[in-house]
Amino acid sequence: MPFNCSRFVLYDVVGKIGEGTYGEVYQAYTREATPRLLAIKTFKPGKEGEGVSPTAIREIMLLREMHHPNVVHLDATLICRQDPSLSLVFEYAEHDLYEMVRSHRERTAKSVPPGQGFGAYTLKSLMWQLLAGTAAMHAAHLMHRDLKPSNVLVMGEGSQQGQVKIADFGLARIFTSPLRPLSDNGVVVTIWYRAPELLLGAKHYTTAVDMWALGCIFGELLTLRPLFHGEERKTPATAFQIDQMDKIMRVMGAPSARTWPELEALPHWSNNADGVRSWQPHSKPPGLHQHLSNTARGGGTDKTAALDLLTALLEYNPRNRITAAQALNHPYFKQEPLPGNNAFVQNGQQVAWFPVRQKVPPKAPMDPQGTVTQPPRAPQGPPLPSVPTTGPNRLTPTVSQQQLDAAPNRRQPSSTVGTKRPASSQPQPQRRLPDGDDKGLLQEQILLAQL
Amino acid sequence: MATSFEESSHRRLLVTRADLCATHRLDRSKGLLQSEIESVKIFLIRYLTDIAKESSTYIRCRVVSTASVYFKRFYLVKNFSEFDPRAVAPACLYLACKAEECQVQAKLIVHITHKLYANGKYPFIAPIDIKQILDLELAILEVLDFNLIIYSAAAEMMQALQDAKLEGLARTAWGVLNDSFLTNAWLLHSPSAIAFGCIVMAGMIAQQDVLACVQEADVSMNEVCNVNGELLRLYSQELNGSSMTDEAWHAACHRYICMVRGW
Repeated sequence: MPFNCSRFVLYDVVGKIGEGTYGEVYQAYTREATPRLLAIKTFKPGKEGEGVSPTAIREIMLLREMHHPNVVHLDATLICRQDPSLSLVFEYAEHDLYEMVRSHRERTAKSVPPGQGFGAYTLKSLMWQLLAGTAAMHAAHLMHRDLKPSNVLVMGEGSQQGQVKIADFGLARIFTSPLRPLSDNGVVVTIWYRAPELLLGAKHYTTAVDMWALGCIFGELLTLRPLFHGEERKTPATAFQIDQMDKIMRVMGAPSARTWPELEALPHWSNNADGVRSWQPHSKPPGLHQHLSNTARGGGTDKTAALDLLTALLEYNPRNRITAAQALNHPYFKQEPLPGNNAFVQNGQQVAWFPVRQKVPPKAPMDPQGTVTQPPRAPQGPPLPSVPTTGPNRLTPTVSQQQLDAAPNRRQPSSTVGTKRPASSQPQPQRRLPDGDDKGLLQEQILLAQL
Repeated sequence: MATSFEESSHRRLLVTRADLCATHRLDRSKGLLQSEIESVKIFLIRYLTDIAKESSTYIRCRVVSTASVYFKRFYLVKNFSEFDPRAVAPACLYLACKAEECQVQAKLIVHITHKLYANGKYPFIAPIDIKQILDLELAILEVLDFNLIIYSAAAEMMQALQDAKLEGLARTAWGVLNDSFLTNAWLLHSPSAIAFGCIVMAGMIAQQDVLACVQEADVSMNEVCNVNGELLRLYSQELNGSSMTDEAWHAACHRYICMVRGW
């Protein structure tokens, strides 16, 4: 049930954990006998004179209908008519794939064991759960349209440890009998995860766009780098991005109408935008198998089945691309190690560790221009301690804080709806860091008053 | 539509007739009769339908249906004396446009309410302003708790007519379905039951036998009859009121609203 403003004080805010075009995210405890840890997402006011942003309405109404262990759970909505403002209260997830990949990348770079990327069990369990959540969404006639590592959350310690939670339904759409075509929503999916049919300007597209994104995420989990790392051209903000297409074709070769007959009907292909049709490789495209065999870290020794699934997800022709339900039955998931509901614990043994999320205490001063307030660069932080196989199963926040501060806080480009929000279509750091003044947990009243 | 209807919020939020009787306590304590409450609701759903018609190309039929259900659900919880239905109706329409992915500007709706007031079509409904719409949008979201997905009955109804080779009834059935949003059927029954209830009603109007079509369907006969009953009640009410001019009817509804909200 919704809460009135006066009841906002039901939460103790710990700190800010994220920020985006939509608004901000805070971590908070409920004021219950046994406090629960939650994430409160506040929405910035929408366009002047247009009330609640359609993004927020879309996200909440779809989450109201989705109940699946691998889809994030909405705990409450907070509406304040006086302000007016709107916040959503979600279960709190300590990790997301973006941070987990980064943590592995840094450990690999610094040769901190285990530095070989994701373990076979963890990788497979993450993909399996991600596919299960996606299958449930698609069965419910729901397209996510913005799957990317930072939108895939993973639960930390607790009863749901190691569980994947698909989040951020701000771009999601119901795809049965829409009153307006899907393409009216403008550009969807962050460019590194954007399917070729979207890049080439398809007006009609299907749940296969989510499957392509999952393929890219899978590749990123294997290699710890974005699989197709295109440069985004910001003006004009269009779906077509030649550099992204180029990155894909360099690995997979150019698409062909022989295996993808509808290709000819795609506007940017048929009018040879930026010479995409006449694209010639500098060297022979290695194909996904070869490309990933060269770059994949971790994921176990036998990569054949994994690469086979990846190839099925990254099929050019959306009609032939594997569906989520089919992918769950792929041989990869029938082989040892079998996937589990806790990606961090295999047979009762903890097998993966990740640093906890960085929290910015409330009332962090913000640059009025909205540019990033850089923290004083920490001197090179100590390397992450080698992870014990027993004992405390998380890294201490202090270490992770320095770790995070030491690295440039580069986030993935965020996707856009339409062309009216061009600012959000570029890669941008999303976390604003404080000027180092640690205020602790006391400001919840002030913060809540601001909500 | 999202998940299957059985798991949807739409299913979860259906109420019983007893629940309906427990609504509008405050309004009734101020002397408003149940039948007058129903009249006001029909009046205002017609009003929001006319707003949509004025916008012609912008607001589609399905949005109006969705808005009508929001309006009815809102007054399961709230009273006319707390929230003026003359403002809640256009706000429901505004919200339904967003939920159905065809947003219109708030100022368009405001503009149309001005027009309908000025051209004498709705002389008793003062135009709404943007601030009111946006405030009520939040109030409606709060009351509905963001359960905004309303299943449609149209596709199932048309399919059933087609399967039973009763395409000739389609026009009449569409009309009946549109009228069903004036009744409480959408608060009480599943879209399937409503689809077939409308087919039965259309059969009665066109004097065609539709029994086979309904019997084959996977839907409770009892519910279908109840939907049909709701529609019959609506139509007999209209017959009784047919001696009344639009103006007199508007004036009567205006009087009812003023009774609980003051003049």
